[in-house]
Amino acid sequence: MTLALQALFSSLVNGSVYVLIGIGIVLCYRSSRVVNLAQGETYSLSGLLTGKLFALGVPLAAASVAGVVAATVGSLLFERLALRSRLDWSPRRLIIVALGAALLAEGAFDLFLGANTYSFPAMLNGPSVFIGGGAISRQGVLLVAFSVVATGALVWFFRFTLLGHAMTACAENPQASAALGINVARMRQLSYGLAGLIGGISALLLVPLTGISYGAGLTITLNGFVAASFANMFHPGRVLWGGMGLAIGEGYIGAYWNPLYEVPVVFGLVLLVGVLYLSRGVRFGGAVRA
Amino acid sequence: MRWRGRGAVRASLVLAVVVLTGAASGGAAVASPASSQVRHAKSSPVVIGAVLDLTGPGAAEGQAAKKGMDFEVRQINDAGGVNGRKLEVRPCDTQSTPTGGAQCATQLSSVNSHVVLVLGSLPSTLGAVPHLTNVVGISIVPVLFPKRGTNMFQMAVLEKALVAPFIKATKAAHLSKIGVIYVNEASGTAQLGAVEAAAKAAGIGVASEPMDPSATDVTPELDQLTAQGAKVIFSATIGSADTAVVTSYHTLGLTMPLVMGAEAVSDAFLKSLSFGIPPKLYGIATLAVGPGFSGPITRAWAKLLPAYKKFTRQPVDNEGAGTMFSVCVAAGALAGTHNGPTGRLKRYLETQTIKCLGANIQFDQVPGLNVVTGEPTALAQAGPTVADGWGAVRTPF
Repeated sequence: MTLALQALFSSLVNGSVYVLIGIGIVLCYRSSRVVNLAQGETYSLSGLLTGKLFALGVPLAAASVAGVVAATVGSLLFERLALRSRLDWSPRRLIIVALGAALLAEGAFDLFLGANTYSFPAMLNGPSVFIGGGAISRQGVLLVAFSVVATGALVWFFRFTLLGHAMTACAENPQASAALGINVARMRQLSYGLAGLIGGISALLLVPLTGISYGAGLTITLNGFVAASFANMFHPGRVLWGGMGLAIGEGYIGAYWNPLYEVPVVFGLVLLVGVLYLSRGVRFGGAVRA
Repeated sequence: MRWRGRGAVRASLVLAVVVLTGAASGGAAVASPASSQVRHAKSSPVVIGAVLDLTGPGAAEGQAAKKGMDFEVRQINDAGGVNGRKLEVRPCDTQSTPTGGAQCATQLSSVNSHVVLVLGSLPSTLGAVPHLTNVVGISIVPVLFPKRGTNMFQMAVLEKALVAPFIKATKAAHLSKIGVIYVNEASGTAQLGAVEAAAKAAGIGVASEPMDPSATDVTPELDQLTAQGAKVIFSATIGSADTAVVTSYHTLGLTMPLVMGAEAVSDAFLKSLSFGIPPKLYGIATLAVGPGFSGPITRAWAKLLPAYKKFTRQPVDNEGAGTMFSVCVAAGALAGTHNGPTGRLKRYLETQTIKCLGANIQFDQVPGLNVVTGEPTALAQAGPTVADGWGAVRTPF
């Protein structure tokens, strides 16, 4: 029972990372139809800047605010400078733009913030929370709670608010949305700003548990991308159960079989099932079923 | 033209003086390039190459290595240099990649000392080694195992020597089982193998759990080890996995001793711990900390530790110590061979004992391999604060 609970708690903490980056990717996609592979760099920028400032003696609160603001501004600048004038490009080209921006950001982090691993104190310190023999750190509880609350807030935003509907409309048909008086550029800015904010806050919650170095962004983006794929890049709620489901699968395979098989088995299965599902209309030989 | 009498004799004498002076000057002009070269050679520095990970994933260790290197070079130059000549190190950044290692090795192969220090991590080292064919290479990677007869020398003791102080402390505390959490790659499995062999010889049981190198939480694995009866945890991990193990140890509220592998005995690792330093965090160290060392080693390190901290503004760690030994050994070989060519340097290292930081360094004690012996090894304890670094054990197991 202890191992099962411990694996569950560990999985929830790991899964929260997938969810938070995943909903950032969904936010950007819903307003621009761009798969933002640079989303993880908002996490990196916030974590690295906070860590660097804290190491230089800046109080943690001020360093944290600076990190989150930098992540938000960075995301807004990416939208303004890299994407806005290119939104008539095909999605495949825009993914490459986003990937290029991510690589450029990593190089800039290495140059200006250094290659050291940074960390800073957790927001919630103190003894871990013990439930039924399993333990989860207080910071871990905060991380899981934030991922659930953030996802819930986004679901509510897109489903029940006019602004959320407007944002979705801008991605589906920008011209029609503009004709209806929606400021398409402002909607997109808002979504990228929110994505940057979520990425920035994620760093404050996760970095005390894992540390961060300049190359963390792309790795974490790939994890979030898989979770966002479960949601068809569209439904934040599905990011939550998809991301957590992936992490729980990994966690139990690691706990009861072998930790080295976590990623290949779970992600391999996901890929296989996904390919089979998408191929369900295809006969062997390539002909499409009528 | 006709020469007449005394005037002719005077003119002849003048002419002879002019001719002889010209001949002497010409001879001197022919002779002076060589002698000026000799003078230049005697005054020009001895340049050692250094392959370093200054950027990329290994940058933290590379920067620490550079500090140790700069410190030791200064110590040697303050003591008169190498055979009266100043010692210089020419660094090259590999960017922590095998390709970078290869490029650096190629560039540095022309250094006038014929010695290149390979101070990067395993990937960049493996990239560099094949390109160091006409120089002597000294590496700090502990799993290189260069064969006798080659030009490479491993300036890192075998794992079994490194873990010996840890096993000794475990036995002294009557702890019956060691739990090893390890990354399933060369460094992790080498450490696991060394601990298993040494523990078996000491009559101590071992339980082991693998972990994903990129995992951020390993609480289930640590749970498994405690469920299997482990009384002390050994972390055979590298990089971010070190932090994941310590963070997970903190999450579970464990109080048993946690011993880190040699790679974690670094200043950078202690700085990365956001929950502070656990009271029972130890590491296997190539530092002469604590009792049990010979007089010369103890005296040398008593001077070294404060001087190093003053120069680098951080306590000495395994990375810095390994680099200092490498520079010292290189300088010792160069001094002993009077900056000899590669072949003479190689034979010197294979057969001679070099005194470094109070220790007797040799490369002829491990059969068939150019692997160092004589470096001090100890179980070190972290803290109590980051500024204290790694020091002698304050709290026995």
